[in-house]
Amino acid sequence: MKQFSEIQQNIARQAVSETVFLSGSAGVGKTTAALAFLNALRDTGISGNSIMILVPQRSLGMVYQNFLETLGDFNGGIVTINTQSGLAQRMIRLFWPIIGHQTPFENPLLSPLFLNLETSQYYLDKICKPYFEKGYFESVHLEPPRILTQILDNLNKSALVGFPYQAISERLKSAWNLAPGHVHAYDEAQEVANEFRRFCYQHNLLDFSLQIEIFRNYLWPSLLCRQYILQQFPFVIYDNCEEDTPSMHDVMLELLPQSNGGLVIFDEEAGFRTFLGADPISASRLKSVCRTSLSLSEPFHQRENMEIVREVLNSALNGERLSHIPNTFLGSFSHQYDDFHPNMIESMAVKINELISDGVKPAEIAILAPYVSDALRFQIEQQLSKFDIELASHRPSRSLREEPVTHVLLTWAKIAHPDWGLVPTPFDIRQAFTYTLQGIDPLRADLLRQVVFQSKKEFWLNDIFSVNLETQERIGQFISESYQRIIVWLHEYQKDPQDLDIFLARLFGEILTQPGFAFKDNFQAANVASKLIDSIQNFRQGWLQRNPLQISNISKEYIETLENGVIAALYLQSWDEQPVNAVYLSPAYTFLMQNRTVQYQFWIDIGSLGWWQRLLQPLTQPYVLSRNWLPGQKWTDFNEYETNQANLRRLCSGLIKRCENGLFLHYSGYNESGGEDRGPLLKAVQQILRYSLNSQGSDYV
Amino acid sequence: MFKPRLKQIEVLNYTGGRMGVSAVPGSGKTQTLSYLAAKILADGRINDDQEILIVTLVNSAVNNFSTRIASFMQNFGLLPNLGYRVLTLHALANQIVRERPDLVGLDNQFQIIDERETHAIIASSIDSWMHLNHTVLENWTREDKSLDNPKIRSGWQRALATIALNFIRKAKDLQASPAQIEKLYQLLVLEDPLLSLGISIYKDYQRALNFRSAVDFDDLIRYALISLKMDEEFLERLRFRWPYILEDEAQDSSALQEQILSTIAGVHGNWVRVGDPNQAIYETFTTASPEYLKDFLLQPDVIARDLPNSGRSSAEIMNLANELIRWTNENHPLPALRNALTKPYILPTPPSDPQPNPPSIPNGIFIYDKEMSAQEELQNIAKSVKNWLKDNPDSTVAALVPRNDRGAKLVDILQKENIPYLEILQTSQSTRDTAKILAEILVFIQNPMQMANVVRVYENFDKIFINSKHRQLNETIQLLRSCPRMEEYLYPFPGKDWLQSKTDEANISDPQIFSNLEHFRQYLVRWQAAADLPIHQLLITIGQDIFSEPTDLALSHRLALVLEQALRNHPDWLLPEFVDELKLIAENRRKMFGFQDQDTGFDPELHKGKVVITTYHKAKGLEWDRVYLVSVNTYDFPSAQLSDSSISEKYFYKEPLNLEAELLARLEALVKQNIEALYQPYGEATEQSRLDYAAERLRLLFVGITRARQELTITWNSGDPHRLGAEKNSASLPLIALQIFLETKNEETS
Repeated sequence: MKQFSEIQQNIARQAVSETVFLSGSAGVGKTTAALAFLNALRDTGISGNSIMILVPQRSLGMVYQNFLETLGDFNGGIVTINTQSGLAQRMIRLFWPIIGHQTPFENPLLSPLFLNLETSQYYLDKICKPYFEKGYFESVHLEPPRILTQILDNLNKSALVGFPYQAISERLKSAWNLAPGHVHAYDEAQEVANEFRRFCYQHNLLDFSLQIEIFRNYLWPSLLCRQYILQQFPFVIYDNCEEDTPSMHDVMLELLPQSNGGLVIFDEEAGFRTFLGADPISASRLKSVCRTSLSLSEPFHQRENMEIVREVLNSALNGERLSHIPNTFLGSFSHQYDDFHPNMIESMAVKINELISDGVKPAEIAILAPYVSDALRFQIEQQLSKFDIELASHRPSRSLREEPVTHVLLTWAKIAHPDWGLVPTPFDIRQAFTYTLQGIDPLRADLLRQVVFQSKKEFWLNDIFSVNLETQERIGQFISESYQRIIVWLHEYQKDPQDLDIFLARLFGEILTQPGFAFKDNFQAANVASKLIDSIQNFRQGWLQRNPLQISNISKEYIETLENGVIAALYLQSWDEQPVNAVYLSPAYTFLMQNRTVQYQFWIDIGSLGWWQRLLQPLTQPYVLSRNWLPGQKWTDFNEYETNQANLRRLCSGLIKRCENGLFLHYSGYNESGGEDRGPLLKAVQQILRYSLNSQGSDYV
Repeated sequence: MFKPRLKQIEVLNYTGGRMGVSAVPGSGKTQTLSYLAAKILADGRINDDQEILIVTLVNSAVNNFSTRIASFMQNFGLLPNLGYRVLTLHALANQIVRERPDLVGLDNQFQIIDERETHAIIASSIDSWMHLNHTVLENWTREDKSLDNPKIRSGWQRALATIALNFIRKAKDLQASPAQIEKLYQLLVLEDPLLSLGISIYKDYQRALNFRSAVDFDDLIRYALISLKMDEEFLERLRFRWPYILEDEAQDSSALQEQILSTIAGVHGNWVRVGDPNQAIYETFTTASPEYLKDFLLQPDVIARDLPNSGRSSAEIMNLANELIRWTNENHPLPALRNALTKPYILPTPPSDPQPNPPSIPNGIFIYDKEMSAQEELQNIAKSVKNWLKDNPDSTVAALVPRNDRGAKLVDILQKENIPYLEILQTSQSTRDTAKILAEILVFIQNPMQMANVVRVYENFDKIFINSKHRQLNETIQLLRSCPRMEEYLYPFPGKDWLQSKTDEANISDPQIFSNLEHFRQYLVRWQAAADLPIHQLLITIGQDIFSEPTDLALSHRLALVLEQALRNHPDWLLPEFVDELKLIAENRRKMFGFQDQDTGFDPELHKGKVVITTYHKAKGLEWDRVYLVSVNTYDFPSAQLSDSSISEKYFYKEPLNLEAELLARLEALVKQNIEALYQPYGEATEQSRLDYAAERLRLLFVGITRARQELTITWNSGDPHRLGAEKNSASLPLIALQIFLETKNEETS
């Protein structure tokens, strides 16, 4: 059972009967106080049904989910963990019949269709096509998917911040203080956004921005809906409110004064999700509507040395002349330079192994980089595996397109439907055989492919009986029989072909998971197959109901759209799949959103500009599209520089606050792309080194 | 420790402002400039958060500068690698654009496409243009040549691709977008099929770049300047960061380079430019010109210095180089070319100089004036190199070729003759070796049943892990070739294990062969199993299995990223396409941006006993005891004479025109709205381009001569007798002039 400090228990008791605004920096035990609050509510006999936990993103709810699981029964109810969009979707579903006719949708009597990111992108892509052909967006140098993402992002910002979507372009243009450059692309993006909105209204499609807008403009103002929420959830926990958006804060400003009890948690010096609309200034308004305001300042774990590291690094980042570095500093701060990138990873792996050999648990070590490319992740995984150390990496989403299993399943779908005209390559066929037929190796798969695959025939795969006996013998009898079974099954299927998802479900169940086939007992393959089928069904949903784009063959459309990268078919990897006792790798900002403290952190690629630079996107600008930006005010290089500097200081400070014992910095002469990096973080570290050497009485003058 | 001579001290006394230094070849300018950088740092003239910016022309010089400055700083008791930044212009532009990509409509993740992707985009646009403009092309083709002839057609494809590429580069140099050019073209109601071709391809090309979120090398430079000019505050920030700019090889500075550096330096900034106008060799179809440096040196606020003494070559070699200057200035048959090379002459180092000239060798210079075919010339050079290496195993030697393809042919001969060599042509040797090994393994993964693929991988495997004697290697390969069914070697079924059966037969002399093959099998099976990994992971996996040197591992990682980028551009690609991509790098047909390997700081002294094959251009900044200058004929070193053949004037063109030059002249006239120039008849630009090219080739020859320390051999060839439509070449005019000079001198001496 989780232990709570007395302070946390006091806060919990207080929050049962009144709303409490709890602030403090990372690692002081605020979220644990919220768990104590849940505990107190349960002890008081409050049903779980009366409690809503609100978090800015799903991953931040995991700590509550896990805690609630340990608690067991919550007085016969279930605690709801929601995000802003989760709440909006739930309310829209519930109240659509009441508010539908007030909205601008053309068919309020039809139920709304929620779009996820990929289906939004898919529709927007179709809408954008004629604009691309007319030469739109030529002044920005972006590939179409990134243009789509930024247009959607602008729509989302307008909804989250609370200004009309028609004003996006004007806001962006009014902040531009330089020569016209690519500014007219803002107008082009606005035109396309307007068109997309019209399309959504016409077909009852609700992308993220519309979900938020409908909630904000029609549901929350409705007395019925508001009463429903208040009565349903008299107790509220709102964690990491500084990472949430002004429109959510607006709702909470009105909800909190009417709550029976609640805890609002505000992390000082945070607000890392600015590019997603997070607004800590707006969040701080919540303090005024809570009955009590408390602050925690004592760190949960002793980390005095790390506080020194934080202060020294902060001074260097501020460009202050260092006057004194305490002796204890070097005990918790070390750095390593290597000429080449792979050497840097190797040095780090050696150091991690030393720590683990000294008794540190792998899960107490985090490797943080500004960006984590697949190649980098793989390289680190390989190096650590030499010491039998496992790596868990944060990969919030992964494209199904990247999975060989997806490739194999779609190859079989193409073979089963030659009329689609999607001919697999010989390499596809070999891969499909290798993955499907139990006991086959790549060489025999290649041999089999050579003798049975004929793309010019009506059906591309021959029977095994057409192959001479000697070759059959080389392939092996068992494999030949399995192959023939799949051929027979495919011929049978072709008599009554079905949609792609049904085909895959049948192929998977009736053949691939049967004895003789390699998917039997392969749970990971089953997982991917199931996600793929889900993704196809989700994609198909629109067609089943309305087919707004009049596509005749949805299955073929799905495969082509997936293969050419327009939809990524992203799926969330389950958190519990990660090895538990493993070193953790993630982008630095992502780590900050994990509510996690470790003993040791390794920062790599510290020369990269990525530590300092915000996400720059030519068609959008999170600071200008925020509530804190005065319309008409110009965004200058000074703003850009100061914002980046402030972000870097906040990032470093936030990371060190989540580190208890030691910080290791690694960098290389050449980065992984062969370039040389000298970003501001590296320069600050060099300043510290220069000072340390100096103060040690070296020859340096 | 570096002991500067008097003229070098004058340069080192610099404290601030603008300074121009004219330096002859071998005058120690890199050393002086590096020392100056270290001295500024040692004097404490910049803050902790500032850097001296050193801009140089090519990657090979970056390491060279960095190493020297670091060494000087250590001697001064300073921390090396702090307080300065050595960058090529492209790397500098990349830095600037990366910091504020939003200013030019880019996001943080933009990619830089390399030459191979550029060529692929242009080639596909050219194909569709040719398809739609058959009649236009017919009008441009000589009557006796038909477009139906595949050779003529592919000749046009190549020519138009080069023309379009240069059009795009020039347009970017002139800072003109496709839309701007098209607007002007329409405004002036022009009907010029050549301009129309250029505009159409440029438009397609830029659209293709946009769709990849990509920029090319020229965009980088253009965008850097736009960013600096667009945002004054950003510029101020960079000015603070780089309070001193030291520019090397300033004679090859382009208009844009000069603008970028002068913008960063500001009117009263600290900017030192060092160069040798006689070594300007990158001017063709660019805005680069030695005139910028010459003009700079003449400005009233510029401190003008010179480094006239050179300790590199023997007196005999220096005299020959000086004679080339004198002959050009006084005796070149075309007055328009007489200022292609300029004084001062190269002076020897003063007595008791710390960097004295090497002594002359009797008959150290040899100009072979007899006619040879292109092939004979290379064979003779190979023969001469072979003999010389035998007698001089501890000396350095290089053969300089005008083009990469000539270099490749020479390499073929050297390989056949077993003459040790090292080539530095497009990509570096180790990049290609690494790419080749990885490509061969990928070919095996893709096509595992083919014995030839397995044998190729084994040869590499043996070289890396076993290093067996020739006989053992042959025996192993022979045994491998005898395997009738590859699956029974790599994935044996019980009772059908080929390797086991051979072991049992025991008719192989060396049992080690079996264990080698067993070991080899483990790797092959492992790589086959990794085939489904994403391409970058597959490459990293293989790289880690076979390489141990840091540079090789870094290169594997770099190649993995190149392929990862290719995958982003071509999501439909599978293993076979990636194999092709790697092969292109391995075959030297593709350049890569950024770090390649430690050869970037190439040191000829490390390759004694081998002949280095490189181009005249790549040889700049390097020196060898003996140098061969190849192909000094009227084709590669023309003198703008009527009898000279021109590389750019194709035999199938209707008119003897340089279409590139004509198009670029019109483009410039259009962008600058120079109506008169726009309506000039075709021909003038061709004439001017011949003069420009001849001038640059004179300087290239000067660069070639001054690479030699003590021995120099110059040859020429009459061309390939089998080449279609090609006329016979003669010895170039400067070669004849230098030979007469030598003969006269020899007569005087005797």
